[in-house]
Amino acid sequence: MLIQKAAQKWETRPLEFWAKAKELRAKFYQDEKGAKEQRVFLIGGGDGPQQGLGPGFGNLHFVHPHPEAASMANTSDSYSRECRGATEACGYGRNLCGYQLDYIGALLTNKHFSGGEMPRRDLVAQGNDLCAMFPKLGQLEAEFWDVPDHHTDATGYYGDWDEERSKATAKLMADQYLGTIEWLEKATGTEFNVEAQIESMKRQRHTQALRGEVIEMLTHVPCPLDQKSAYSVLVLGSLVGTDPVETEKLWVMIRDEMQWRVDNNIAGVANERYRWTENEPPPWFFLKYYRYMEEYGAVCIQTFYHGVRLVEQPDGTWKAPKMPEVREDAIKIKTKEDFARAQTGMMGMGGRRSSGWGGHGPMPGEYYQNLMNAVKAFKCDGVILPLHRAGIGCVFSMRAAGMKLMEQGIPVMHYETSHPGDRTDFDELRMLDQLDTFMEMQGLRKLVD
Amino acid sequence: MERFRKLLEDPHRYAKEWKEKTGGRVIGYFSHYFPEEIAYAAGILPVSIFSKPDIEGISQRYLYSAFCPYSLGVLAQGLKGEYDYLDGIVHVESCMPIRGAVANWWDRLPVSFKHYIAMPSQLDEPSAKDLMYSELTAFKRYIEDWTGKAITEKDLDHAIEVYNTNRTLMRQVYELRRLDNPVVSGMEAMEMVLTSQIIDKEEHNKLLKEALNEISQRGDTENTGPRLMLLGSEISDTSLVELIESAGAVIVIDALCNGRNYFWNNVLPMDDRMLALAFRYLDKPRSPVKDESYRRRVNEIVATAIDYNVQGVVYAIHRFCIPHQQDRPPIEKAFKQRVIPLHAIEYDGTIPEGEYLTRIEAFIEIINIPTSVKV
Repeated sequence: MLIQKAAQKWETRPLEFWAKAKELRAKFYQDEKGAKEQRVFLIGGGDGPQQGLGPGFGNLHFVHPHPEAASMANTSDSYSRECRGATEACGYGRNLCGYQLDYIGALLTNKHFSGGEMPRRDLVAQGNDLCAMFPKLGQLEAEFWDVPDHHTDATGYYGDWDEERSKATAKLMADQYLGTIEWLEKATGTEFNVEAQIESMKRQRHTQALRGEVIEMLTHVPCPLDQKSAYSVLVLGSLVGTDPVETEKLWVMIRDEMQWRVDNNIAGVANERYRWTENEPPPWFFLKYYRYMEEYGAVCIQTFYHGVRLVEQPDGTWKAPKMPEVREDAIKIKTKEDFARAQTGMMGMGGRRSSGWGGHGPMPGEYYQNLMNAVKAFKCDGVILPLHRAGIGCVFSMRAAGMKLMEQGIPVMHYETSHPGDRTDFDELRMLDQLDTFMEMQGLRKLVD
Repeated sequence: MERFRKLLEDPHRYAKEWKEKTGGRVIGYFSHYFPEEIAYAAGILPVSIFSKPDIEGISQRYLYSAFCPYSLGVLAQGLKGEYDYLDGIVHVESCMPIRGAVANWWDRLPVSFKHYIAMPSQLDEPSAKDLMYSELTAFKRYIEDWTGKAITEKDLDHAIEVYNTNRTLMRQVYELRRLDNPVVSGMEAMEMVLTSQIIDKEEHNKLLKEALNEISQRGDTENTGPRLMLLGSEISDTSLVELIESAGAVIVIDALCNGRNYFWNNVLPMDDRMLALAFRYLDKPRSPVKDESYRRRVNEIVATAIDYNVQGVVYAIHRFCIPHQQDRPPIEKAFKQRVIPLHAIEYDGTIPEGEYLTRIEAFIEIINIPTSVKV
């Protein structure tokens, strides 16, 4: 192996927010297991409008299968294999994605990844997930626990903007939102508190704005935060519904720390000389690939988990879009009906299907443009895109978008994985060889320390 | 009956000749939730895009190989230019892998009309009807803009009548399969239903009437083997059906998206034609992706199997056909509860004849064992 010397060595430091982030996530799972004692409704199911409704009820704890299964695959290979085996033995095809195989298996084996039994869900609220894998999981989960379930739709159209169609799809979404609130009211016997929900929304908006500020700072050279660390915090408050107050405090910490690191050129990766984007995470059990790439002085920046897409400004800089404020005076949110309509509008739900959600929806051209913007905004030199087996939502358009990037002269590497939640047959050595080849093709060699 | 077989030998020939003869436009569609009547009312020939195994792997340049073989095969057909006679492509929201094929088709292959109908997934929700109505109305508007011709109520009535006639005739064919000694084989029925998706329905109606007349003159048939139901992923050819029946069984009913589900329910007359169409497509026998909340599909399939006195079920699922994989355990359980044996096969689009024949023969033997012995 040829070896090069690092051109520049940046100062780097441990992240101070790290402990707080760990504490928040651990608390989330403690709450899942302690829901019964706290007289909180534990709700299974996946993505959907229901996930943001906790504050309006005050007694709900939503558990999303994605992060739960990701943790399972990452925690223990033998446990994860046992779960997947149980799922297969039950008759589910081996072609389901790793998250489903893991999660269904955890239900069947009644083992939680953190130890002990799988906490029984009281209800299931299933969204029409942007990935085709999950909408039917709610059916299964509700039947498994024998509990009431509620399902919501998230249909949108592709094509040019059309006012009438957008109104119709937005109405569908508002109806779904309202239907979910009313179902939760009936199922939990709790009246939805609009004021509490709006207060929480203000906080969420602020958190999202803070997140935007942090993402903007990742355009700095050297990048103040490496991707491996970033993944640990990006799902907090969203897929992992941590306490909104504490999540906001965490993001203030992250913003302040990132600002200090940017001001002082503190790098996430000390020998940064090459930047790439991946948009979708690698297998969670293979995060060491970031460390391997550090040997080349390479740092990964940008993933759709950011939840923020930077927009190019007239002066050539890239900024996060300004968050719309919750103007309850202006739109006079007094009732849950008002809230459903307002929330649908503010979240841009319904209408033309166009989202920043990685592979989960955009057509190849649009996905390519998202990636190209990321390459420009974060000053990336290359793109590495995972093709997750059975991850239909994850890889939708990814291959085609990668081809388009290559046509524009951007170095792109696709690699195949068994799935972020499935270690079954991921070939680590082949992947490392592929990385070596990809880097060497761009004239890069491993660095001498 | 020979005419149906001939049409399937080259599924593109009819549309090409039709186009040459009429100067009309041809629209290809991927999902059987596509409201063909609207296109037909505008003088357009709607054709179902069939998949063939992508042996060369040419679609994998744009789609990951872990997509289902149906999607890969569909895209491959497009990339190879098999469908270069299409003027338009329309898709109705269904499963994500097919959407991936459509996305890449739109991206790489030029057509003058592209449209995506946002069909809801929670079909029991009151709001589903509103969205479906809105989307069908929008589709009609887009078709009118494209053709430069307004679609009148008279046009729609004619299209609905032609399509309803076709559905009624197809149901008559399927009724003949319900008999103790079915006079129509699964292979013949499959040929009829597949050809109905690639030729002008008016012409297909004539062929069906001739076929029904021919069938009515048949005496006893040899279709006396075990009565099977065929379930699973979409099938674009008759090879699997042919193989199963060659082993001595007879497929008396299916629950395939492009089989029975394609024609099972009619458009019911209503003053508002678009609403009538919306209801028709919302009320179709469900595919797994449109059966997300209340599980209606399992009971409906089992009830149909009982209605057709089915003795066994072949559940043929494409590799990576996620929605069908997800429905498999509840369907297996439901048939098990009714002591109807089920044999599941997972395939990648190609049919390994030797292996499948052995499996089907073994399955037939199991069915033929007297119940007392099985217990």
